[in-house]
Amino acid sequence: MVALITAAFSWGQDVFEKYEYDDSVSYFSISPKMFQMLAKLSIETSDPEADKFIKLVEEIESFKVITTESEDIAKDIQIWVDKHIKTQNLEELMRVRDKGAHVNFYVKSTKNDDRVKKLLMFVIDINGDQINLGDRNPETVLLYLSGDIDLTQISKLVNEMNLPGGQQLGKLNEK
Amino acid sequence: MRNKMKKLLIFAVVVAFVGCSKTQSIQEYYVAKSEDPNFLVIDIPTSILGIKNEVLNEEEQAALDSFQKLNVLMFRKTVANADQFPEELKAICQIIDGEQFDPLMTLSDRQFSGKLLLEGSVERPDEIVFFGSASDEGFLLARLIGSKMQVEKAVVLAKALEREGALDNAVEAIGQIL
Repeated sequence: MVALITAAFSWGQDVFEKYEYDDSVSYFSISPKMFQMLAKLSIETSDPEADKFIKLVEEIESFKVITTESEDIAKDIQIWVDKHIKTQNLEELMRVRDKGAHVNFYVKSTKNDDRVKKLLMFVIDINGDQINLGDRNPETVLLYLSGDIDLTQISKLVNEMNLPGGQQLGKLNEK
Repeated sequence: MRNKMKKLLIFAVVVAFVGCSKTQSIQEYYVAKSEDPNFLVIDIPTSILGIKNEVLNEEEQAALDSFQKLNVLMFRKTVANADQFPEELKAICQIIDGEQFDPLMTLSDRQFSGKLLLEGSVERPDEIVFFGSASDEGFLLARLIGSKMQVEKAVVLAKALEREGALDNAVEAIGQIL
């Protein structure tokens, strides 16, 4: 019985939680409570672009990102992503190749084409010079967003984080 | 009757024992470490901002009153205390994990890790905690303590404090403490 529970737990375990404290992983998350608090602050700037960005942030409920250089962990992340897409019924939004890096976007869509409930961005094979985080050159990035997300705005966030694929995501809605 | 008394006594002893073995609270930790030369413990009340009551309007005053103090504890890693560092880091992490905090933000990397935590409701938190550790620098625990803090007024309050030059007062006062 205990073994069964343990097995069920580890199977359903979130890949973010699994590697949160791992030495070969960089982890960053913002909890729903933080977003609730940010929304309460109702910050206003005189810059309309910045205001749009703040509005985007206020619509996010949860934000998580992990990056790694480890091939083993990258494989494990891939397994989790494949499984998660199936169990959560995510749709592939698009695939992009940006200077060697493979970028895949998956979404949980809503009736409104511009809005999604979940966005999963999975990037592999990043070249060393594409992202620089201090002394680290991650090869794999997994980013997870949930909330009421405006796809027309999210490309700005991706660009802001210097992740590949942001420009293509921005073009998606110009069609 | 005697049997009942005996049972009651045993029960009391068990309760007392469980009570004592409860993990050390953050407050007790601050008190214990304030005497330790490896630690720097500073208590900064909001009065350090040197704001006179009459210059704030009612809204600003109520917001300021909901914040009470900033409590900072720092362990600075040196050659002399490097051996002690992993032990102290483990101890403080256990204490933080043992408290009923809700995570706001978490960052963890090989050299650095940081956490922002909350106690109380999102609308009116009683405490906001930052804990950061760097493997070659040490760690820092900062607690913003208040009573039903009006976080949504933080922007209004910041503007009022800027208007009254509160930051300069605080910097000067902290400089004197150190």
